[in-house]
Amino acid sequence: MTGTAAVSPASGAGVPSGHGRHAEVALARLSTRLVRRGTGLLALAVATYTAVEVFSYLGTYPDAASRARLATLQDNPALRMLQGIPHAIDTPGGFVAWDGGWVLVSVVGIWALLTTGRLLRGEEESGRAELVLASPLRAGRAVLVDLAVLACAIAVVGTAVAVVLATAGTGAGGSVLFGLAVAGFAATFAGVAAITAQAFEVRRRATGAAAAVFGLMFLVRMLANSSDSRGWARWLTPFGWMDELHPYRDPRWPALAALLAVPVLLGAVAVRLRRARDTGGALLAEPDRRPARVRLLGGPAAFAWRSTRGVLVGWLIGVAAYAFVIGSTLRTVTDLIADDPAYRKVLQALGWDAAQATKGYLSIMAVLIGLLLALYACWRIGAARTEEAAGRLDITLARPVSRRRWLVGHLLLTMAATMLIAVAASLALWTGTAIGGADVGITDTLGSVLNTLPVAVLLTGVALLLYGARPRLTVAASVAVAVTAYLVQLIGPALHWPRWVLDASPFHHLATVPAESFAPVSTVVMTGIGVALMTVGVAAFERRDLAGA
Amino acid sequence: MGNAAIRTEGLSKRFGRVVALDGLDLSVEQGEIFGFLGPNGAGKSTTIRLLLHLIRPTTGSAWIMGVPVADVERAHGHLSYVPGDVSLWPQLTGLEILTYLGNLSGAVDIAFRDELVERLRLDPGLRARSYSKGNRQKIALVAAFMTRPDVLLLDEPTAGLDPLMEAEFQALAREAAARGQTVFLSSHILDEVEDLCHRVAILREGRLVEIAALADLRRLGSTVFEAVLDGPVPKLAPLAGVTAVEPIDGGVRVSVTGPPAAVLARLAGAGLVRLRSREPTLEEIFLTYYEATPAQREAVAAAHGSRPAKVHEDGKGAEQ
Repeated sequence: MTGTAAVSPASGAGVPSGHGRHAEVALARLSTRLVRRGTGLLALAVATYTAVEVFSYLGTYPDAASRARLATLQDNPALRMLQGIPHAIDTPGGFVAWDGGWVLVSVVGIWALLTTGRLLRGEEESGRAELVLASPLRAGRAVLVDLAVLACAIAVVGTAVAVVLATAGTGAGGSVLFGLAVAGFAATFAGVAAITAQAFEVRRRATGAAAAVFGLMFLVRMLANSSDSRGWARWLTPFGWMDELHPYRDPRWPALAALLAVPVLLGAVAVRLRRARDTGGALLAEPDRRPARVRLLGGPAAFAWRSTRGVLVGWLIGVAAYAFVIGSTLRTVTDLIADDPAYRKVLQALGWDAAQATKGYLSIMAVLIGLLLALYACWRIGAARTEEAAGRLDITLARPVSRRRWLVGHLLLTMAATMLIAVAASLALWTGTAIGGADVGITDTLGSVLNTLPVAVLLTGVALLLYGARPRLTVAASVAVAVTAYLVQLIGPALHWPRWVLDASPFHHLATVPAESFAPVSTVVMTGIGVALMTVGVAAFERRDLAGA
Repeated sequence: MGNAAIRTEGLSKRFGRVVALDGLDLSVEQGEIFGFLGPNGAGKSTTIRLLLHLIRPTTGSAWIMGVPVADVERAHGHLSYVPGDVSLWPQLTGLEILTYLGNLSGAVDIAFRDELVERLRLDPGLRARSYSKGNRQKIALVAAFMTRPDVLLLDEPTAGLDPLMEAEFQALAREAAARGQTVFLSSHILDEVEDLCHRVAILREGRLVEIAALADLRRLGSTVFEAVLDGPVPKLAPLAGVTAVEPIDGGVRVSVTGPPAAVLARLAGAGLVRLRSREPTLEEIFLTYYEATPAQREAVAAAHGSRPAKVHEDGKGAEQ
């Protein structure tokens, strides 16, 4: 410390501001270190995604005539519910804001709420926050510093979007507005998570509650956009503010004001709530004492099942809800595709008729569910890593339990849970199609979702290999591989990427079930590779040192 | 001996370029309470984690009750472990954790477990997240003792306990040893080891510097004289066998290994008013081993006709 930190007892009520300033700067540095890598990766990903969106628009709709046809999308209820109200989609910026905007804000919003939960509750749950709060820094102030760091991180991501859009020539004003809106949207959910972090003692629960709010806000948007008479409800949800913004033509300032003011308000509430509670405590604290529940404590696998049930229910609901929405919009979307000459050409190239178009679209949507399944599995392998990093694995494996038994149990459980989500998603998808009037049977939806499972097996193998060989990278690298592989298959064929790049993505080897029949060879090969990677991963785990406490 | 509770041969562990443990040879008999002493970073926890096969040796081997430690399902059937830093599942109650750990080990004598809970004054109805460090330690201790294992590997088990509970722990350890269980106790708290252990090993920078019965270790160490003089303190340091000299109020404290005749003669000639002599505490022995130069340590050993198990070749110990 410098000379200013000389021993001088705090005079009066206040802490000398110099000391507080030092502590604030130190905390800001620490929190920045914690979030900078994720922020950088996300900024890169959203920039790439935005660029791809712009260029695929320019490629698919090169002239005014083709863009004019897009106007028919304006009134499509399914698309309005899922993606929002299209506006100015005859301009590249307007199209990207509508077609890609909802994906963009969803990804950035979920990242914001996870990161906020980590900084504001995770650090406290682990006890590390106490070290920080031992410095001359009030708890409310510390929350403020963390929120400022998060705001900067979110601003970086928003800037990445705006810069790409402006560079691609979509218009500077609209790009800045849209970038600001993406940042404001993310900050809103950071604010929500900042509040849930005050409400719950456990990080998992705090981020879970924030994610539930996120899902609810999405549902409100769907409801608001389902009919013009309910349009007022858009003002109740950040998704609706994005719909109302119209960044690329006749912007509406109240929407921007909402996107920028609400996060500030939520942040202020979070700081206020933080002052009202003890460190380590929560506004909705559960009692410390409860009767013992001794079910599912019989062995490592049973115990892992017990620990994962809550998270699994969350994923089941989330994925099934998504599948249901996809299913219920299937008919309208495919009708639209069939009417669009540009898409018809694509269909002809594939050799499909209209019936196959429905099933083809179902298959494409199922692949996205497949990505979610793979992400779930990678996350659960990450739970094994968490158990080890927290030091709890030591006392488990000091018992007569072999590493193999522990890890294989965890793995089988993960695979079974993934299967469960897949079946639930298939049923939800089918229910949706039945209600939406699409001509699709339950075997079609089951086939389309289960068809993607080999990819989940393969990526679980990747996660397990990482856990065995480079445990720190378990979740980060496996999720990155999964998302990259998905994007390669999503974007690559349209941009005529080289064959070897496309072949590297496991998603590329999936048959478009149910439009095509299931491809046994690639299924067997991918499952085989996945199982081989798992075997190597388990062997590597058996041979390495456990991370010590 | 074939039936040693714990045996290691040339057990070594490197982490990158750092040598955490260097050629440990150890044999702990059944029913023994064995103290494993050393300052932080000496390699105590590394040794215990090697014995548990949580980490793998770079070279060397180890056995628990004659079972190679790599055969964890059999070896761990014989042992229990209390980590230095106890992490528990924050959402589970103490009782749930004890149930789970008990199930992993097989049969647990519930009555005995409840007796341990009672004796350590543990409240098992609370969630682990509300436990203090001491209470987490108690959970780990109950979990370790409740299966009545042949070998207890305890890594600084009393670090978070209050003196009353520490006494209770010592009673538990003695009872366990009386039943024929082996207690391997790592510590840097000397009192605890001094009260409890039959034999101790002293570890420094990954190497074993001494292994001996406590009585032998005392004999090996120096005798401490505190002399009050009415004259100036004479030069004592150059005399044979003197390992430490420090001034005290009105005189001098001098540690001597080997026959003290020369020191006593010089003190007598310097106006000796009062003389007290005492056995060194373990702490002083300990410090002798940490701070003494190799020459002094060899002098200690030579003076008593016995050699330490391993003598440092250089003052710094393990390579940098």
